[in-house]
Amino acid sequence: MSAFIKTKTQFNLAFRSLKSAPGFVASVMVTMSLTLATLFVVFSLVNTYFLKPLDVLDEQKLYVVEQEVDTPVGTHSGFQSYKAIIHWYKTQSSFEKLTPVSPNNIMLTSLPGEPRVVATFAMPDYFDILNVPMLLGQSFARDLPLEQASDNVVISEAFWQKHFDRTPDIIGQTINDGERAFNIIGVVAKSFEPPYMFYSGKTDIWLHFGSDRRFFNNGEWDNPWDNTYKSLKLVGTANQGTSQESILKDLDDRIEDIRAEWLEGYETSTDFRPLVTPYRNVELGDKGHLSLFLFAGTLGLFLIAVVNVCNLFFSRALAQHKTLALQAVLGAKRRLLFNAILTQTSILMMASVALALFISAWGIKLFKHLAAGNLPLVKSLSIDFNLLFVAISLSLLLAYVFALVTSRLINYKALKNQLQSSGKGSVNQVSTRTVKVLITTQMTFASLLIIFACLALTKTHKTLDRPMGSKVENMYSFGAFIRGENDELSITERFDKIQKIKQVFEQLPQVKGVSLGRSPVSVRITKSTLADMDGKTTDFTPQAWVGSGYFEHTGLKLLKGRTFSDEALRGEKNEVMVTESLAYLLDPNGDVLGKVYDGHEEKNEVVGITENFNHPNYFDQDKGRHIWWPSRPFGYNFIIETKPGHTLDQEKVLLTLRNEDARFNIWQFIPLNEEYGRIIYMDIITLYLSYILAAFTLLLASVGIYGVLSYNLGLRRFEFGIRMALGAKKVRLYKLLVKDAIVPLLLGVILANIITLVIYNQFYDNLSPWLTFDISFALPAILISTSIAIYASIRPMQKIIKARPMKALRNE
Amino acid sequence: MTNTTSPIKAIEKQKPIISLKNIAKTYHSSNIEIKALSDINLDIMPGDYLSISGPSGCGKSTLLSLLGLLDSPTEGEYFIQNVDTHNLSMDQQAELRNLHIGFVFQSFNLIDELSIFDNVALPLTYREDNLSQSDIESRVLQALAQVEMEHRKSHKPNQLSGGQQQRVAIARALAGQPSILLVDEPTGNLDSKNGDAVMDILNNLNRQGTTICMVTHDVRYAGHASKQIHLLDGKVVELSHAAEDTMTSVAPITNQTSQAAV
Repeated sequence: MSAFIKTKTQFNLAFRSLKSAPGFVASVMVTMSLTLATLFVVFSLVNTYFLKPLDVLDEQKLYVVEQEVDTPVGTHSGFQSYKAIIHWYKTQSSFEKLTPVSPNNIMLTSLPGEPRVVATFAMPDYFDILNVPMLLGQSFARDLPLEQASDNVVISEAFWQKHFDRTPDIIGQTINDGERAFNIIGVVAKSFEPPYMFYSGKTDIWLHFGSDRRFFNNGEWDNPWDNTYKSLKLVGTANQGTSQESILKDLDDRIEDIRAEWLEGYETSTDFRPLVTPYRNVELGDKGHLSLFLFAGTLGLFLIAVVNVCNLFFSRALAQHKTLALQAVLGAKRRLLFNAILTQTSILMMASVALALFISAWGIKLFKHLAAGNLPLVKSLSIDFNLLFVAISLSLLLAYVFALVTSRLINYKALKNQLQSSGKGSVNQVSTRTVKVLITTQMTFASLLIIFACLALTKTHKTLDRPMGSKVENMYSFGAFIRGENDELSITERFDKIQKIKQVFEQLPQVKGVSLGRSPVSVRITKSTLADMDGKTTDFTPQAWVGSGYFEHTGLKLLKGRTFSDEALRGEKNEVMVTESLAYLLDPNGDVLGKVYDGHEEKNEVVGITENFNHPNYFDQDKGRHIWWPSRPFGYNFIIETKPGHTLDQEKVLLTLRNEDARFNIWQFIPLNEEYGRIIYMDIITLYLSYILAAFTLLLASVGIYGVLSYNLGLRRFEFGIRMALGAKKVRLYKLLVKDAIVPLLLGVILANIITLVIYNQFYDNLSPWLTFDISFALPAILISTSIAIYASIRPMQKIIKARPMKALRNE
Repeated sequence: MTNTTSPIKAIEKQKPIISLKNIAKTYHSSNIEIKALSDINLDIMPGDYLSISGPSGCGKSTLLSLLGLLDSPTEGEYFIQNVDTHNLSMDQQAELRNLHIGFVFQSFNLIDELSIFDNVALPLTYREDNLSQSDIESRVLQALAQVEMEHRKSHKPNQLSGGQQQRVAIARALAGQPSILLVDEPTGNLDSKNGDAVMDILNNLNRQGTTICMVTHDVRYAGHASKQIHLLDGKVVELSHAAEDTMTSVAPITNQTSQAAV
């Protein structure tokens, strides 16, 4: 018989055999396809982060330049000053293409609603380096010098859609920021994913770097050396043959020209140096570790699923024992039996993988939607060649492994003896030890996953349950301004006007309360330092500018001292307030009232100590430390609370303001509950994912334990029948179950706990941002999962014991 | 339970060990009803050597499983040692089996992972009255001696031949000193030589006073018993006593009878 016909025959036999066992096929396919789909989705993330080349000009030569500053309290990196960046940009000789990049929010007054958008300031090389695809028009002209502002703007496709309704004649239209008009010269295709390192990949428009008024402002304002920005960086493609070390040396050498000026301008620094990092590393940040952590978790799930399916194959082999025995007696060699099993496993695995790929396509789509703006490179997730290769390899490998394991467990010699002993199941094919090891392993894996899911849940719950320090329901924060008013009015006049505007809002029927200041409930925060009179400086600490009524209004308790005086709010006095944890950092006794510290101004007196402000995203670093500065009258920043059932919107606020002064513009308008939602978004996702992971793991583990026990009890059903025939009562049989199943199960749980403790202690630094070990949270989960597993063990036994012994003896 | 005495322990020597009255067993499968046994009336006295024979599918093993409390009748009453088994719990039935019934199966049904000694000792370890280790040991050795398998007590079942395994199975049944031995096709898996050897053991045991109820399809071995029952289509059609050399037909053996039973 030709090989083709043999294969075809074998395939037909296998297919027919599988068709007669729909339950088995469904169990295997559901288990494998769901688990593989999860694995594929997470693999696509790992693939994008570590394997797939980035869609940039030349990734191998692409670097990001930042600065590293030594201060008496430590070294800070990743916060850059304009002067340093521009100096390096102008003097370096290591890059063939280079651009400074800095995003900022600007308000576009020419558009309805005067929206605030994200503008990325960059040089023309930006579009080459990052392979920016232009849908329409072009990017910036190359001949424009760095310092020269340009009246050209490039917009994103989403911006075009939202504000211009994709009008075909977009090129040549203008947008206005209230002072300058910009001509739209190009539209970037929506397939472009701006770098995550800049404002989490959010960009609406691109402007020439020379148009950035934070630095290029005709001398109106000097952006000093110690005014640093996290999202200001240099991105460039190095010259051919230039290594990272030589770039570093080149930029380090350039510092000598400006060292004296830098040290003078950055008083708290003692030394500084460039930081040159491959682009991918900066782009991923710590998200790379997250993806690996997720991958490890998914692999654990996958292993449980594999063990489960092995058990199902064992059961199937048992059910097919007589058929296999007959084949052995009729002369079938071991190899033929193996091939028969391999054909079945191959069909199942190929079908499972195909289904998994289909599910993962949707999974990737969902993941992209959920993770957009929260994880880098999300748009690049896809089913690509790497993933397909992994899928096909896995299907072949799993088919072989399942066939091998199943055939190894079949005692070939005993098969023939089976028929001689009339096949009443008296031959125990698998040793009790093997089954015990299976149960222990299964439970260890499952418990490990459940424990780690609980630790992640604990962390997330702690974050979500921790009081932040500000009300957010019915709370709105907005900033308004009148151009040029700071030059027209004195500080006192501005202060009085602000008080008047405050009263106007307080009198609105839907308003419950108003306070001055910018709410610290924000995705992005700013930080500064406090230095005592001996020059000892704190680490960078979150800060906010607030009015005297802020604390009572938002619910943050004043623990000691008082709030800001009117003189401080008018800028006539330098005052500062701190949170309790910052007070204890400044003084071991927390006794800082009346003490004086340098900050933005010199000699700021600490007048009050408040409860901690626990920003969910920064609590791990800052532990509730916060600096409160008095909100000076340089802008109209208010926090408004509406009465229950009432809302506020930007239009209403603008109308109210313009009723007082038609020149008012709104810089930003933020409903605080929405902003809080954005802050905790990743925590919510982690919460749901952890619950789903824990539940899925529990389900798989229960199915697996049930399968192992069913299989084991199925093998031993006849043995139990004999024992019952000899007079064994239920208690004796349950004791046997405890010895053979429950004890290995509990051993698995104990092992998992030990392994968890060891891993958590060894890798505490890497794991603590994601996991918290809290026994009061993990213990119920362990108890529940163990109880479910024990129930899954007892259930098959109950069926046997309840039935008449004769059923067991007949192997029914 | 009557008075304060466990019904299981109420033993009266001259009354039948086992009494079946109008026993029937019906199996239900999908929409098919199969009457495996009907209208069985039978008394087994102490010391009886009863064989149950009949063609394949006539209900022999079903009857034996009912006798051994491994299954329950659909109709009728079953008394063992004067105890009505109808309302006994599963545990009470297990205790009854352990104390009064010894089983010998066709396919030996020894437990592979236990040694011969442990296989024979197994029913003794289920006793409620907690026999001491020395008691168990002596009973096991005595039972093994009766079947001449003492020298293989440390071996595993798969190290023995079929005949040897069957002898061990008989020893296991004897170890508990039961009131009755229920033997299902003891020679079914053995060659004639081993079969004869096993039958010799059973015959000797009966001579020593052990009550035996044996299912066999082998006419030669059926004749070893002092009482023979012939089943056909779930009914007793012949009852003969070998000592009196009489045969009683319970029902005429006709085709019409066969069809009616089905």
